[in-house]
Amino acid sequence: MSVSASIERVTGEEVLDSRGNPTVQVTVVLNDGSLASAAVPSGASTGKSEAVELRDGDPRRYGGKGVLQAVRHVNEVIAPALSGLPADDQWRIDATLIDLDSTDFKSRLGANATLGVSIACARVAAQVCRLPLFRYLGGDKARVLPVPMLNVLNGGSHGNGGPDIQEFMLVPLGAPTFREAIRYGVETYHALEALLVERHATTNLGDEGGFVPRLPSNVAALDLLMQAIERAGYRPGEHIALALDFAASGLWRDDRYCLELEARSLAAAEMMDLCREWSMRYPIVSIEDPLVDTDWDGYARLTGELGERIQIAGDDLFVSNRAFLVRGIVRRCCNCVIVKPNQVGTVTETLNTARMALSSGYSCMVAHRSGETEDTTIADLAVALNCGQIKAGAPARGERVAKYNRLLTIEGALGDAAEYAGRAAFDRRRIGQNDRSG
Amino acid sequence: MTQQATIRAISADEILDSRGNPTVNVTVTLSSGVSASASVPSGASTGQFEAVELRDGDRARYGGKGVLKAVKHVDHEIAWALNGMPVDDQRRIDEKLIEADGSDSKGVLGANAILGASLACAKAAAIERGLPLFRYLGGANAHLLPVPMFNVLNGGKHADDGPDVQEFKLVPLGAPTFREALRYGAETYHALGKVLAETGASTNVGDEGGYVPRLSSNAAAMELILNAIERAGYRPGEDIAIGIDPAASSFCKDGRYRLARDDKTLTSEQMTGYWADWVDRYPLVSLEDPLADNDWNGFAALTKELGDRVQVVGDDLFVTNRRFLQRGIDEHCCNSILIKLNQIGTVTETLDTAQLAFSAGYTCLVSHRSGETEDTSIADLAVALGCGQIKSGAPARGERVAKYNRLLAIERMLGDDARFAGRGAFPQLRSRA
Repeated sequence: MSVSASIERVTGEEVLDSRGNPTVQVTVVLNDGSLASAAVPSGASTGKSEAVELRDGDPRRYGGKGVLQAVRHVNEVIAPALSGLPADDQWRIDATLIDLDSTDFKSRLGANATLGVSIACARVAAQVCRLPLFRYLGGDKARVLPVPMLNVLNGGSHGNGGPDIQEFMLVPLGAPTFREAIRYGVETYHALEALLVERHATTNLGDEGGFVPRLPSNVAALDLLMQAIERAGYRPGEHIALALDFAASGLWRDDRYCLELEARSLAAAEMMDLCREWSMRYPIVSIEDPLVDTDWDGYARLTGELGERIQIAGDDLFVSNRAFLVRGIVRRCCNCVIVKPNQVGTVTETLNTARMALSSGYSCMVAHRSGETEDTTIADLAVALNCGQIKAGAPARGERVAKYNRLLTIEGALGDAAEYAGRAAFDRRRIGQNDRSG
Repeated sequence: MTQQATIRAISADEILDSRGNPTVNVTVTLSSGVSASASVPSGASTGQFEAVELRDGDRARYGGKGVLKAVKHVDHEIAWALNGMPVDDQRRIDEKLIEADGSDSKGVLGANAILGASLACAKAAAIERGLPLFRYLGGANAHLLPVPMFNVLNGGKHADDGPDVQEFKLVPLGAPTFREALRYGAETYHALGKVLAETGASTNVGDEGGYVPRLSSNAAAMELILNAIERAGYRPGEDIAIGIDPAASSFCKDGRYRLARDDKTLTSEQMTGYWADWVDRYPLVSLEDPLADNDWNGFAALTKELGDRVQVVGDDLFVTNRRFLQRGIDEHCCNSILIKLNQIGTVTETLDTAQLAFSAGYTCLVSHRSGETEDTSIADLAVALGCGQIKSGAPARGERVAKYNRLLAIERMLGDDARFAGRGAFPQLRSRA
């Protein structure tokens, strides 16, 4: 932009997310008439130090989950402060938001208010610059399509009646393109459904679109996925690998990891043994949150033992926060960070965390939340970062599929310039080398 | 428009719907540079006379469900037929599409290809004119927000383990605005989730976002819903009424209705008696496909018996087709019609069917499909028609919620002009009161 358009109006509104809970939608209008909106997701399994999602607490509306306060903060506090700022100065916009809030975890204005504004500004600026969002955020070199991590079997707090482990993901890293990766994933998802139907198991869906069958053990879930992959005509490990999210903080009770389904509990050392054993027996490329989010020493040990071979991803441990990530880097905890914009509350802080990770030899996995909307920003974010990994749920439920459809569109728009991350996204040696050379 | 924008390019793409099945997304670009996209839904419980959704049948891709053929038809035959046409002449565009296909069922090019193109043209034309879609389709007087019918408890084909009746819907007709109606519905949906969780039942969801508990009978589902309404602090019938869609064709065999949950096998007459009993016992305002789609005589008898007290909606019976609706009008079957764009395949034919329904004193209920996308055209269509009713699933799952969120945006856009249809959407309630 030679003369940048400036922000004229910022308005918030209460809409619903994919669970039927209220969430914040923000629309930004510039002085040249351009307009864009963004809607904010919401997690069920949330880390302790996440940015604060402001809820009204008024039991007469939506059981206390209304977001009229956050909406009011957008309209009455944020709007006047941003009015007149150039839309394409994302850093300044976000700095203003952080300043206005002036708390550590966005508890005054609400991270749902700040993130909605931050993303809507980025969207409208991209439009004014005539760039797709991934290009606006990532620059000229943004062209790597991420490997989709498809959460096809849900448990834990995301699906009741299922396994203890929260997410069992298909990772179609052997596909030649993103479009083909999605096809591999969908066909395997439907093969899994057919297997469940044959066993008279339920095929109703959890929050993230995965199935939630009753199974005798957590290993049975892994075996079922292996079977589904083969049934769909793919080779486990070669075409499609597996990834897990233990969400172990949710399993942590009285200093042990409680696996209710198997009626047993594990000490930290036993949990690490379990990770090692499974990663030998199954083609697992990534394990997220295998330990409770207070066990930094345990994470350092586990990363030392397994980090050469597989990805150890920190979500609850880092909550997309740069300060926590720095601590992790120093203590060598994990080798991957989960990036969720609503855990920190602005676009700039999200990008900062991701850049810190990538420049320290950590990989990044951009992630959705269990409560989502039709907003597809995270798809653009994954391409902008060239980070090669995204998890947005199963290839089912509109709010999940919207992200994958957006990536199909991006791949189409990039044409020959598009590159599918594939196996390289999980190649620990390559990621380390990039670090040394860069 | 003095200077008409013309269609410069049409292209399609294979994307995924909410069940992970491929569907068609069409993008239209105009001579002015404006472009718009539309994507097409897909039903699981389909009427036998619906327009044909073209699937590749190539087992090596998506188990035969790919839509590359339909995509190719858009890129070639349809692009060729429509290029250069003025975009604001929807009727001519749709006639051209029908002609290019040349069949009754739209099976040559595929109703998925045709509807995608038809809708994308309407959206592009609306943008070109600077109008929201509901205004472009419905004119200056489009201002009536529909009563949302929330399918919160799924059974039948849409969900395994559930009741025989396919849909149990919350109808918040006592709310003052659409925004409040949505809140009534969401709160009751969550109250239902709590009731289920307390009894140890599953709260995982079916294709349309509703819960799918194992239940001892169909009436038990009804009781569960009444319980949830009260638990959420609302009055059944007054604040929130109930609509059901038995999708009776799915459990009718050789003229007998087989209710597996109730362990009952009924004749058409007995089936009608069963529903009459429900109308007496429950605050039921809408009854969709209560009989099988070949049971025209049964429908006439049922409408005669119940039609002045409850809305009787024909879906599988009419499949949004003018010809079948005309027969229904002649034979006094139903007093309402379900409107689904993809059952007939073009915007114009959909509007024509709705027009015929209104002129015969039928109400219209605009509807989603069980396989949906983030496309929100049906929300605009409901306001454009001023029909006062829409069903788009539970207030959960992004593809369902997107339609309700679009209606929130429309209500806000209309400001003081907006009116919520409320009880007025159901003329049968007048005689009941």
